[in-house]
Amino acid sequence: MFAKRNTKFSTSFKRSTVRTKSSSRGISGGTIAEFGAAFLVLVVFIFIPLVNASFVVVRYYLASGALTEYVHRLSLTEKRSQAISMLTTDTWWSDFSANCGITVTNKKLSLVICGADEGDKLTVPQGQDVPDDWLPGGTKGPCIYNIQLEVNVQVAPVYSGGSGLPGINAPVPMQIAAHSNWENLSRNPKTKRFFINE
Amino acid sequence: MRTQQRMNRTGERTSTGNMFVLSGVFMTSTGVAIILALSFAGLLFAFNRLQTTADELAIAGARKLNELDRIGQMNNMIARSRQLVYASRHQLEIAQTHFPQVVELSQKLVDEARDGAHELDQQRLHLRGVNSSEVQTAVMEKFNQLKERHAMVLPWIRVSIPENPQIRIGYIDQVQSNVSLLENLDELQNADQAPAVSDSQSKLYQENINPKLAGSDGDLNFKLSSLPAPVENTVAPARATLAASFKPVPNDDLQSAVQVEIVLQVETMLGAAGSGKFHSIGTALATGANNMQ
Repeated sequence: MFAKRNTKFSTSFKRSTVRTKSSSRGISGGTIAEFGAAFLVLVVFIFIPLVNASFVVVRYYLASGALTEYVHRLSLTEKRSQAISMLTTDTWWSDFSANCGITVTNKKLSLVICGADEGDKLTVPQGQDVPDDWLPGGTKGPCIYNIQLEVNVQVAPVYSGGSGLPGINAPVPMQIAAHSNWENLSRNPKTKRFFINE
Repeated sequence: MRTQQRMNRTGERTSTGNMFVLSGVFMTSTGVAIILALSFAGLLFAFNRLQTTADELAIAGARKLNELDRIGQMNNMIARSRQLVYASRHQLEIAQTHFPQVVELSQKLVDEARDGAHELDQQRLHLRGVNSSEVQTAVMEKFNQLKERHAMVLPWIRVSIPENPQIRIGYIDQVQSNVSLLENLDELQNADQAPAVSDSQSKLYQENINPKLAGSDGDLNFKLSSLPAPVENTVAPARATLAASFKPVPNDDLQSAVQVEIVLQVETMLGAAGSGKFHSIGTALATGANNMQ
């Protein structure tokens, strides 16, 4: 019925600007003048930025997953000093992140120890020894030892200018942390010290 | 037909439909992006879980290896057997020179010490076989408990049950034997202080060595395997370690570490179907030796 009516209109008012009651579009099918601009605004200011920003989330997952894997590797080292040196020598994670548009800075490796009593928690920064009370067999024990890596990252969207709105056309700065159980709780037979303190 | 309904005879378009198409494109793109992100998160999740499983399997095997400190005790018995053979041979030589009346008795002691060393070597080989078989059983039992939790079927991703694991048994690089350098026999102790035999700092025998005795007892094997030694009453617990530090044992030495490799088939089913395999390697070191009884 509509098709029939439209046919009739188009015959009588060919190329006219008369509009039907139910639509603001011209009978000829041409869009109203504002529609082109509205469509441009929709694509440029909403659709493209949304797609652009959605890559920040995907890249965040990438960085987070890779960091978890990296920290797990660090936790398997023989000594804590080896884990610290791996931060500078084993750069696959930061290289991988750089290839994915993620800039990694300010890596901080620490050891988080939870003691037997509720509330017993100690964070040992990089380069410091674990106090005797918190070592395996110490008065605070039995303890759980977690190696924790905190990094500052800048996750860039697909298109990123030098400066702008973070997530839309500039990288989003964030801090990611991952941790894993420290595995080697034995002592070095050469020095008699715990590997966790070497 | 539909096109005909939407167009009139002169080819002019109807007054409805553009926004519907645009919304459709927008919604589809957003939907695809969300599904891709979910697929990616699913892959990461599957990979991390596979690594955890590989570590668990390796630790299950490693804990079995030195159950009841059997490797540690075997190493200690071998070292003492070596000392006994050396001491009895030395006594025989003294008897032959100074006390001919006890030569026969001394010879018997040497023969017994040698028989003991030979029997111990046979038991060591037997223990190697037992260890190997028990590790396989322990890892497979654990694997059968854990394998079902990997299966995941979603419209856009399918994760299968992992394939049967490959199990390797070896040792961890630079972990010496648990046996302390034996004292009381000065000549033997001096000979054993060579860097190839023992470590000067830890006073432990090196790993995977066969410190044969000189002279007539050179035919006997005294193979000492790698195992974390107890240090000031601290026994090293079984632990996961880096895959790169795993080594196969030379010859027929006892093993003290387990490496497990598992493979997981992953398929994506969005758009062009693709499939791939995740490989994960877990490595673990056996529980260390107890203090010598």
